[in-house]
Amino acid sequence: MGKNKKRDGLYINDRRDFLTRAGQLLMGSAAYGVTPQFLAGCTNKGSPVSSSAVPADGPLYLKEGKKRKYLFVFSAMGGASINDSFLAMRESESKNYQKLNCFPDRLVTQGEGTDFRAVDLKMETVGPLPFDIETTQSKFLAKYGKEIMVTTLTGNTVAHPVGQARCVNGFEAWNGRTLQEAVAAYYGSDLLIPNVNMATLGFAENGKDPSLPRYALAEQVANAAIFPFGLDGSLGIQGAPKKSLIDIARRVRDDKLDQESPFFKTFGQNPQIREWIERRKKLPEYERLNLINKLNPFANSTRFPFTSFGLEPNTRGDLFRELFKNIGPPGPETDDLQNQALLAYLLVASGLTCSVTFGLGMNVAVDITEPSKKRLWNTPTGFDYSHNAHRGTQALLWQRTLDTIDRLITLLRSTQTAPGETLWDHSLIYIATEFGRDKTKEPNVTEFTSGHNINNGVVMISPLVNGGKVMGGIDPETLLTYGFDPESGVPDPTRTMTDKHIYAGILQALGVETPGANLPLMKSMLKRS
Amino acid sequence: MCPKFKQSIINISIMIVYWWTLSGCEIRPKEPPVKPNVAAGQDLKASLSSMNEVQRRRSQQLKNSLAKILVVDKQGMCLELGKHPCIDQVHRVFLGSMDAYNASQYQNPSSASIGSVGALERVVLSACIMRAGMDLLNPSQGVIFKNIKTSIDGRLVEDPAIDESIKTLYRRAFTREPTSSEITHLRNMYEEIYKTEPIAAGRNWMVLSCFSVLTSLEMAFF
Repeated sequence: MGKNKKRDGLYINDRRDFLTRAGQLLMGSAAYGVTPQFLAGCTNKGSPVSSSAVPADGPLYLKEGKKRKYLFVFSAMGGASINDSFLAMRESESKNYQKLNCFPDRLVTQGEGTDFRAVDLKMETVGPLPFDIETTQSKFLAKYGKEIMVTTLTGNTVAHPVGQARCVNGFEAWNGRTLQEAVAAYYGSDLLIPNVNMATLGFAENGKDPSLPRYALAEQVANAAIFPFGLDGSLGIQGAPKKSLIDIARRVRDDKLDQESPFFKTFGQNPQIREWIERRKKLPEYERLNLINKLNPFANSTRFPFTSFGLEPNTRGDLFRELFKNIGPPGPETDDLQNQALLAYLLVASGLTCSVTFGLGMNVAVDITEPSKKRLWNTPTGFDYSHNAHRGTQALLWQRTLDTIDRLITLLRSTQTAPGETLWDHSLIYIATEFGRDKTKEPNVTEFTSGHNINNGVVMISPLVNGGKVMGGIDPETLLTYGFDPESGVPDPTRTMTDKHIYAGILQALGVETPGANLPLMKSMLKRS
Repeated sequence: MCPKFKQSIINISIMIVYWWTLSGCEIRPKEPPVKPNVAAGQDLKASLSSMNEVQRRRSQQLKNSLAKILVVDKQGMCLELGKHPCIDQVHRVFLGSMDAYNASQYQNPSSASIGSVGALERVVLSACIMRAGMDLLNPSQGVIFKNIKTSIDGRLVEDPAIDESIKTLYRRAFTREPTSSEITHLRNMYEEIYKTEPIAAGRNWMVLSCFSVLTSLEMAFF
């Protein structure tokens, strides 16, 4: 690697080089408005990565030589309406615009060379919540339009957790196996933590397929920021005996004390105990890989004095903090969504994981870094706050969603897997949401409320999908979406698409074989060669 | 029917029911409570449970148990980076509890997860370091390692207090005596520790015997 230095398992030229390259893509990331404005000023220059960028660590190829693929599921909690983003309708395009969720023409732009729309607006409140909003969806569209695919969908439930589970298991399209489990089972047999899930409620539910290999089950991570602490039994604890001594104690415990204890003799076959024993065996492996440090990108600080306790956070942390301005240990200045997105990257780039789920939570989050200019990061209940303030909620959270994904893609594009290839070339981001929102509103209002509506559309972003396309269409007089022919992709107003179609299309785009699943062939969703 | 005759029939019926009920009760002399064969050093007989149901010791139970067993402060027994409470904040979900406000987790996890074993080890190790430190400072008032003697270079000095410490640990942790093999294994562990790292072997043995017992399956579950 010439002058490259190895740091934490990844190669990098130097900080200036990385930032220069990333900067070409970012073109400035000064914050303004309500969310970290990573999208502000970004251009459509494509990947800045050259062959000397940041090679990924870990096993990137299967034994058979098939290139591993990566699935990122972004959980858009609460009902992300496609009518408020890529399928936005202009008022001039609908006779019923006064009664429908249409936008003034000036707020909607058409993505060049794509089927998509973008909404750029400013609002001063999110319903009763006094926070400014500014959206720049057009920047995201300009940057990634050719790699975005929207697939229309008509779901089957308006219950949040049920809809969340169905949008990742395709309404139990394949024995109840989730998308994440299917990808982990197919691509993750040789990975240490193939499937990580940082989401909640239905998005975090395991599938129901009894034939799923155990290694493909999701590891639940409740808090991305402090998760690495649990990956080492003693590092960072003052006064802890040396690892070699800890290992002696573990051996005595596991091989002798437990085996001979009356408790184990009585309950040793209990499944929870068997699982615990299996997990014990993995802990030394996490320690050997130094994951407690490697997955910690945070700066040393007074509140979190890592180095005083013998911990050494990821040495590239300052680079990551350039991209993710609001990462950090739990605290008022920390945006946990950025923590999750960065952990998703670190898990994949470190060769640990091939399927990661992360996304919006249910809890309100406010950035108080600048007391005079507080920013709302997350509404209470996520997108479901549309019950109180549809337009403001959708605007704020679509912006936050796209902004976070933009940062993640930037890192993936900057991480090399082979000469001329990056992690992004093998990745797919699926913005999963449980349902859409009502299409109607009262006339002459700029803010309104909305209920749940099973009619919607979902977003996939990847070089592996039929980018730039809306699969299906939208009726301007109702704002209801309609389906398409799975083979040809020709829009068909008489048909609707189901969770199963989406499920099948994603797995097929990722090259996952699904023997016996009888999934529909979704050729139109795949990238055209 | 005559009311007196009717009342007589009812009374007789009640008596018959009483007699029938009481006849089913066999009066036996009260048996003394079964004393388990738990004298220290004797091995317990155990067989596989037909019910085979266990519960995980979740975060609050773990905190209360460790505080009682080791007589350490509930909040101070483990602080990540010297500041952040391990059980209530940092490892709460990994230790089996929910965290609605910080992590949108509204139910206790149904099973252990990737950091559960590590989290338990960190909490117990911190608490054991604290206990061993206090007992070393004031051996005569030791809670677990009472009257343990160490040489000037930190080796354990052979003394009945060693076995007594092991017994105290098991009594306080599991309300039972250790078996003879459990005592032997922990004694042998000292030999291994000493061979690997002679310096402060006594103190390290105290910490690690506490650690190995309190991270055992018998502690993690109940």
